[in-house]
Amino acid sequence: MNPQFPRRVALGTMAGDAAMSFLELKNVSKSYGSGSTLVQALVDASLSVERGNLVAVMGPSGSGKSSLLTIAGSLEEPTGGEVLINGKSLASMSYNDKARLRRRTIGYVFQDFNLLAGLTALENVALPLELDDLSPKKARIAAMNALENVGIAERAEHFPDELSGGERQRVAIARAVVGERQLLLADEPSGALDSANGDAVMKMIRAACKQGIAAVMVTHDAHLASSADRVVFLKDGRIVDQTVPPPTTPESLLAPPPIP
Amino acid sequence: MTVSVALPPGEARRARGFTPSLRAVIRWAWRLFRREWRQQLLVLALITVAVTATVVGSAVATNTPAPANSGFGTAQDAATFAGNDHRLAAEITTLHHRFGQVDIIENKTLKLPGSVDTYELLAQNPNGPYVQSMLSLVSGHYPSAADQVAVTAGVASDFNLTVGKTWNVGGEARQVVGIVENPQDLLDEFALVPPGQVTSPNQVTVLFDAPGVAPSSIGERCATCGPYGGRGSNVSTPATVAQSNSINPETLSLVVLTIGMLLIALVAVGGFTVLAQRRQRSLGMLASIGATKKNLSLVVRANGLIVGVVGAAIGTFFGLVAWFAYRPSLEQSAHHQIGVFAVPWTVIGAGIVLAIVATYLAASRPARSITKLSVMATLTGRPAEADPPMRTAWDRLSCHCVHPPRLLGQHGRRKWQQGHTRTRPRDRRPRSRHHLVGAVLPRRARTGRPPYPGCRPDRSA
Repeated sequence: MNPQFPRRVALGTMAGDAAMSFLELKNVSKSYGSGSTLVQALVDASLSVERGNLVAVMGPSGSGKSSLLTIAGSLEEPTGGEVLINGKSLASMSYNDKARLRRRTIGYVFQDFNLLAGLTALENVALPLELDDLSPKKARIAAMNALENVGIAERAEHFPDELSGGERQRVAIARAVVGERQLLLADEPSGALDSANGDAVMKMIRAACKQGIAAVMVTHDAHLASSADRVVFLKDGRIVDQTVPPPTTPESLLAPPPIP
Repeated sequence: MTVSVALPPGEARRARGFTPSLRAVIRWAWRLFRREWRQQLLVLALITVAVTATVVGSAVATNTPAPANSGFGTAQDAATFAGNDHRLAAEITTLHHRFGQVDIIENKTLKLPGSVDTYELLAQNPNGPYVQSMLSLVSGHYPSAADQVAVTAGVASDFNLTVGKTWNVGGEARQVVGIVENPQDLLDEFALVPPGQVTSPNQVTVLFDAPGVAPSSIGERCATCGPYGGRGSNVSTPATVAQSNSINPETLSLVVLTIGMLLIALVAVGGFTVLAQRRQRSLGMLASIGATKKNLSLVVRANGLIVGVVGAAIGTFFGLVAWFAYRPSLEQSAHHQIGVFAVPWTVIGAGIVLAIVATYLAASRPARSITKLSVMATLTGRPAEADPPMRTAWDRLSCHCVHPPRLLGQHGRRKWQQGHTRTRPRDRRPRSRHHLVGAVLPRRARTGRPPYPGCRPDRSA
């Protein structure tokens, strides 16, 4: 056992507890291209995330972190395996069913924010609700609440290109948690931010988890990963380790993960 | 910090009426158009020019010929009689009795002295119910007594007349009291006298309104009540006059407009496709937060609709401005007065609708294409995977052409392959053949795939 990770967890035990899991990936594989250009992004990856838990995914570039997240977020189809969200398999859902899931259940935070140009911060946050046919007035009220909760209500009427990086990411988080979202997926949410903004973003994600939202966060930042409930390490498309970081020693995560 | 943003319990998710999702998507499309209208300048300019040309062209085309109601005033029917018809008075009485008020125009053609040209001596009531639009006072006043006459500027020039002078016309000396004109035909040269002051007219025209009654039936009905059978042949309406014109300018304008819009739509398809590619990532963002295929498609189609509406609005504005500017010149060349708003609104309306429909349909193709991409492909801006090759008759033919054994039958195929296996390494054959197929069908070469299973080398042979 790596002494830096005192609560090492066996891979099978954390991936198999389906009764409590909100998100469950079972032997998920993903490959791109074919023939000589075939790339295995994920190989038999299994993961489960319970409500209120924050799971950080770490690994070197090209290890399949983003693929794991996009597959979990129904943005991409796995080549093999199964993804269950709240017990329902994504494979059995149509495009529009998945779209409904992304509107109502899954919130996605991208590294580069992905806010829609031409819409104000408030309109960006209200958009998922309006797409779900909630009346604009009610959607705006909910969106304003979300912006207030991430501390950016005073910038609600500004367009994305008038906001700083930290402010944009706050808006993106507000958009990801607005409504009745139960799963938050964040792909390097602090990747484009300075450390102060990165910490603030992390606090918001933690706050969302405290309210029962299951969260998966891809990060390269060991410091941020240390505040997760669990850290999953990926290498060459395989989950090679899962640990529960000690809350008081985030530096321990700076050490490279053991490779079995 | 809390992130409590759940909707209130029992919140009714569905809204009534124009759904919020549609509104939100269209609002975003409108914002994108406002931000990126320069990228759509070509299509916008084409639509604007087409609609402007439609407004001006159709207005000129329909207003250049004399108006269809020229000679009718505001009446819907006109019956013409020979001036020497002994039943004239009775016929006028019958028309008056049957259709109410009538206007009578007595007409005598006179020759200009020393010229082959003629002018008309007209007797009519300038304040009659139907003829007011056929008369316009330039100066002086209308004749009100038997010894008074009003003349057009042309007649005044020919006879060197001015208001106040005495002129001997129609065998009587009359005082010129005014200068008049026919707004519906500025080349019309005539002298106007009060009703009943033309002796032995050549022709008498009776203007009346017979709504809903066919001209041919007027004579037939009256044949049962009087000796006027066959009068329908000399009863006409503006519509029957217009029908006699073989080339209807409005129809011609519509045909030209439709062809033009089809061409513009073809250009617009390319423009909107490029635009959809540029916006692919934005559409991916929209898809990632839960937009359905319908929503994504609507963004592109709404953009087309907006381009059509804006282009049509600008085009109509410029067209009307150009028409207002050109109308006085057209009046001079067409020799009749033209109303400021005497434009073919039907054609203009059709032009606007066609412009909007054309851009909407042009945007529909890229809209369909964008919905076929996966969310991640859209989000990352990856190009769409090429379609699998299709087995059409042409494909089969090309396959046989580049694969001679298929033309040789089973026996010949073995012979051919035996011969070629000796002279050419087996692993090079498929590549060479694919290269040929790619040369024949560039699409296949682009996909880098084998042509199709039927073209694979027969390993069992």
